Amino acid sequence: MQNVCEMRQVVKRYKEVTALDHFNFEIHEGEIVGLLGPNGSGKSTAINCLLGLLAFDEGGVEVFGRPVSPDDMDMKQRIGFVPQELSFFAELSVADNIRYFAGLYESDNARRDVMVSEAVEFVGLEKYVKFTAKKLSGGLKRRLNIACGIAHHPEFVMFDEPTVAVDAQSRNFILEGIKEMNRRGSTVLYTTHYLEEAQELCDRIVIMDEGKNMASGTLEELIDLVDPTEAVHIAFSEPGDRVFNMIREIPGVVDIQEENNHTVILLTPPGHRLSALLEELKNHHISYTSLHSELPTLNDVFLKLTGKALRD
Amino acid sequence: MRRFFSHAVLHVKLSFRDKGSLFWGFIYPVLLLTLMAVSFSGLKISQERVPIAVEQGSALAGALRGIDILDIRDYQGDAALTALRDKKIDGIYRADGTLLVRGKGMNETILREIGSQLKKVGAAFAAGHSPDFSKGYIARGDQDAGILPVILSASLGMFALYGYFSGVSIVHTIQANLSPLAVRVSTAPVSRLSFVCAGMATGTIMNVLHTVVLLLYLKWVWHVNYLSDIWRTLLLVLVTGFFGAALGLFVGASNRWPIRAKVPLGVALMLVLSAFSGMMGSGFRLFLDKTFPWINRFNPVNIFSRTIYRLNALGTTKDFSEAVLFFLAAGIVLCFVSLLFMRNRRFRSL
Ligand SMILES: Nc1ncnc2c1ncn2[C@@H]1O[C@H](COP(=O)(O)OP(=O)(O)O)[C@@H](O)[C@H]1O
Ligand SMILES: [Mg+2]
Repeated sequence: MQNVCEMRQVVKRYKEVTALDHFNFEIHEGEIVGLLGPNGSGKSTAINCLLGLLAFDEGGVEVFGRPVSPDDMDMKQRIGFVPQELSFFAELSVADNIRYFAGLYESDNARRDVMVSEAVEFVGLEKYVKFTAKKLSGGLKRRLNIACGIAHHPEFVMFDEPTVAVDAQSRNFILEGIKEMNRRGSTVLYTTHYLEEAQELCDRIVIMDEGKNMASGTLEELIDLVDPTEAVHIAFSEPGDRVFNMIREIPGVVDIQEENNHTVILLTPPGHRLSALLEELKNHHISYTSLHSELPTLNDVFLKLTGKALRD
Repeated sequence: MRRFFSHAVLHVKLSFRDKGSLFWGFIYPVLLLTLMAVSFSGLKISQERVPIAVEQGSALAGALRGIDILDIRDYQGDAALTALRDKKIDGIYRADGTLLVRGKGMNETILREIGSQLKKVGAAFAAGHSPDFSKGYIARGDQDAGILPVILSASLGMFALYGYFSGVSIVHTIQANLSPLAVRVSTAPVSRLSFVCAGMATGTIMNVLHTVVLLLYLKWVWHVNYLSDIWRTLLLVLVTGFFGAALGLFVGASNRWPIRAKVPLGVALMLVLSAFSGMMGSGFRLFLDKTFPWINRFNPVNIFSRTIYRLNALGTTKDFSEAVLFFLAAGIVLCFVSLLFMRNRRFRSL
């Protein structure tokens, strides 16, 4: 499979800060790749290097198999970019904004107008085409920002945290739209600091922290990386050493922890041991008042890899 | 010049949609001019005529007597010189055609203008055989003799340079290290030269429109006619607008200050320049002309207001070509330097 873009050992320093520290990653054609990291981890910096607008200190950056250059008009024609900050003309209408941006790529007016109406439909702004951009609500502004970036059918689109400060409805709309673009053939780079988004949207996730690629792979691959456990939370009717000693004997149980008013049993491998556990409890006539189980999440992976939780 | 037209449409739309630029471009200037016209028009009446002496035998004597703003006093022999030294009069038109003045000032300028103008028309005028011209001249001289036209033309000069703001905003929309919007635009296959040219052209033309609106307003509402030499005036307005936009381009491209600093900087700069040129009354300007004469020689607001005043109030084309050339040449140099600054396309920091 061909690499749509590739960063090799890229180092980018601002005055004191090292924003990218020998950063490596690549995207294959047709993928949706999530760049997941907390604020300040270097996601936007990586995108700006890919766009050819930011000078970096070491390493190599290629898009479509060529080193990036700010004068590469062919590359610019083929990529799309949805910036983290709202980047359109606040005084112009929704339609005028999309028309202008689409017009930067498509000089044929008829084809451009088709692109505009497609993009409007794509982000669900049909009712607002005549609205002045600055009068839109926050979520709708985000949608316009996206429409301006994708109207020209780019082969490779970079979204830089497009859902920050967006209501749940707009967020789902946006994520569904991106999946649809991908089905139609666009390769997608998506940066976010929301685990759930990366988990829901991306074929492959790159975990980024302090300018480094900490790990990358599919969700399952990432979870496998951190010798994962399933946490079963049980509130026993009569907790005590008899119960715990018995449980410790059950295969797959790695650890037992007591929390405020219940017990946490850690099982491995996740997803395969719960029924055996329940069977044993029944056989030994151990009763409980509540039980739920948590499979490992990306957050556990993140916590393991970086030593910090990725939560707002 | 790829996409020149769509960039031009963008700039035109922006300047009409943006309430801010509509206010600062059209409404604010009209308000300010109205304020000035109202508060200074009273002064026009109390403006004193310029006291002068005319030597016997001067060919200009007849014509000079017909000019209302001149107060011609009679002196015998050297008494006129003494009067000039004692500041009783501001100038002596001598028999040999020369003009004797004490120093540099408003009145002296007026006298020099009148002298050179009269000399141009020559003998016919001296003999009083050109009543039409005489009448026209006197009418204009009368209308513009007060302090009001100085103030108005200085304010006009300020607004004629308001293309500055288009210049700044062009750079901030295309130079990636200046704004997120510019980053976005820079990721598209855009020719920056085309973008800048389209912006400069529309910015200049929009500013000509603004200025013409002001000129018409002054003409129709305040009966101050700065459009009597209409074609030269328009050319002057055009090159001044271009110069202003080029200045904005330069200020925009030469540093990384945010646009919210560059805009007030422009407002302040124009205000100061027009104050130098007499917008705050002629006293300050006279002081400057005496102590730092070079300031106003290169002050674009002053070059504009002096030229538009001469063209329309004094009916002379003196220094007109120099002014046009100055604005054109300086504008082109500023554009060129700005493009050099904008050569960089990949930045250390965005
Ligand atoms: N223009 C800049 N000048 C100096 N430091 C910067 C600049 N842009 C980003 N940084 C720093 O580089 C690091 C990475 O920033 P960024 O790429 O914006 O992270 P993210 O997009 O993941 O939030 C941060 O520590 C940030 O403070
Ligand atoms: Mg960012």
